[in-house]
Amino acid sequence: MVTRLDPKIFDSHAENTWCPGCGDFAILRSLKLALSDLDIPPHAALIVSGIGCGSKLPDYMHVNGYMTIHGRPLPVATGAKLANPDLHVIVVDGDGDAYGIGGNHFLHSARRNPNITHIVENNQIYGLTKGQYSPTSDKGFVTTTSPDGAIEASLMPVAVALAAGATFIGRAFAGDPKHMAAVIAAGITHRGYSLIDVLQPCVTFNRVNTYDWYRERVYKLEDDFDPTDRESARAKAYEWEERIPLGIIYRNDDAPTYEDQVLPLKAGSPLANVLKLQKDPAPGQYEALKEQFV
Amino acid sequence: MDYESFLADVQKRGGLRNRDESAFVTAAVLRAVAEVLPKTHVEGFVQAVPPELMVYLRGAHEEPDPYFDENLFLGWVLATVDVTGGRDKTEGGLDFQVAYSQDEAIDRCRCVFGTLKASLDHQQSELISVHLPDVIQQIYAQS
Repeated sequence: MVTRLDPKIFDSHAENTWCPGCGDFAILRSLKLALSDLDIPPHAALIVSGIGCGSKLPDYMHVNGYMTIHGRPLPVATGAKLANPDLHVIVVDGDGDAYGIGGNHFLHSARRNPNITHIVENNQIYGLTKGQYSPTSDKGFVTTTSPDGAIEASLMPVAVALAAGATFIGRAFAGDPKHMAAVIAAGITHRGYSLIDVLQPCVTFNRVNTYDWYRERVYKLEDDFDPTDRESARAKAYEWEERIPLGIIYRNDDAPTYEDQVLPLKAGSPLANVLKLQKDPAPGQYEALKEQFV
Repeated sequence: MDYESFLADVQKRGGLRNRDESAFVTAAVLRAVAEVLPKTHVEGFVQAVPPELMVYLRGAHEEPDPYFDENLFLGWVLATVDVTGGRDKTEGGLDFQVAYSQDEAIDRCRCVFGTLKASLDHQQSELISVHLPDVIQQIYAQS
């Protein structure tokens, strides 16, 4: 009999401190659903986060978790993936963490193509610090740090990821958790860096981009849309304001991952090798392993 | 019940300050209901719900997302709390919005549900109830 992994296995005992109604709840739920659909047990997944409301997520899931400093989850996740390529490494952080403080890492992870999944909880505002405008806030958006409206044009993360060489780009909406779970699952199964930009209302500090605001604008990509066509993806990447596409916007399943090209990994997972050495050490084995990396 | 009577009843039940606040709250709750109510059921409410409010229910989907839970439901309701002036019950804390927004959202659901139930017959009321997320279903039952 085939049994599906129960999503409840990912529940943790940590008290949740997100605001009632926060879109993060849907992201948490969708991630649990995606992992259970893919039959990935808690010990086989690592969630790395940064700083922010959404970055509390590893606390709320029974998986391996690592909260890093602000903006740095991508390099930490890349390191974890190199040390143990067998692990499903997922980064979860907010738009400020991912596109602002960690913007440099976002660009280079996209072109480096490590086999990690990057879920960005994009609520277009800094929520944890009480409502400052973020890289994805729309021009003119009034906050405590933009009293006359945000001067800058907002960052277009999908377009930036595409230009930087990301091999999988998806977008989901927190108001559609079932669809989001499917996009996240597709991102996890993709071999390479996958960006999933999740549009997520901040019910406390963002009174413009509400569930209703998104509902009026989002639409799911048509069945005949070809995400492997870069030019089609580019056109969708710039759609915003009036209509916002959801789904898999771009994918290139043929590009080698970063790990594929790291020569020492040809000898297998470093962590597995270390564990093997610990179990059955032989003279010179530790030194030989060290030489591969130093 | 016509539109103005509906709003007046919501205002009375919720102790809301004015008609506009009542209209905001009513719209927010009905939009959330539309997220969980299958579209095929919506027209059954046309006799009981004023046309001005049927607009919101007609936003329902053919197949509602089965994972739409109480947090998402309250998210729709909370979107109006600040705009209409949530009640500040704090004693100097910074996070009054966070600390009390759930109570506020539930209060708002209750007053709209109360008026809605008064407008519907038992069968219609049950039809809405069974499609609500579990926690919201309890709030509906108590309204």
